[in-house]
Amino acid sequence: MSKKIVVILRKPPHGSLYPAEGLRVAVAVSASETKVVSIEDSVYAFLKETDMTLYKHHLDFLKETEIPVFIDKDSLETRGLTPENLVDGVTVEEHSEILNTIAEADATLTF
Amino acid sequence: MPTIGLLFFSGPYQSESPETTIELAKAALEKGMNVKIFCYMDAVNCVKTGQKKVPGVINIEEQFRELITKGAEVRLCTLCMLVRGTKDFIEGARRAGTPDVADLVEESDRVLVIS
Repeated sequence: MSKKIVVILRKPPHGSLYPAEGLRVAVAVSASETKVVSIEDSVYAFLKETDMTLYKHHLDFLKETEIPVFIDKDSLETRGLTPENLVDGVTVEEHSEILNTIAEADATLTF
Repeated sequence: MPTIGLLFFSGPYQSESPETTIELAKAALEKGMNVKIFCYMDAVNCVKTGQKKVPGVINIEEQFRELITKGAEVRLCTLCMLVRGTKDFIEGARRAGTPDVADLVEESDRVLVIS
């Protein structure tokens, strides 16, 4: 049985390549039961106005293969953002749900 | 024997992350565990050949050579090497791709991420 993998994105999309690389790895491990969670400054990666040149194709692939991308509601609100600021195809979840998702994983890959 | 997978991100000589990775890997090997390391992003530069030996500074190239000699498996993100122009790397390490990260997770009892 394949493992449950959670790719955790933490870093902002500007100043580092971590979110882009995290999504690249999420695609790579997508044969497993994979989920992506975005917390802290990584939520900026999913704003409508963010330049997604480096990872839009990964995001499109994840959407097509029904691999969910969960955005931490607390991280969003702390930064004065709302779900309306986000691109389509991502899901805002309560912090407690994000924690449950991470707790249930066999492996967490943090970027 | 359990297998530990290390997904490792940091380049040499800036933070102590390479030293942490090396010490963890050594400790696991000494306990008889299998160790698999995937060098991602700047970490591919940890296995570059020709790193100058400086007194008082741990030579990361030598340390990785030792890990491989002791049985650690070291895989390198090929795309990360290409964009950094990293060409020459120590014997025993091998080029890999992100699908190898999937293998690393499947093959390991525990995966640690060291950034």
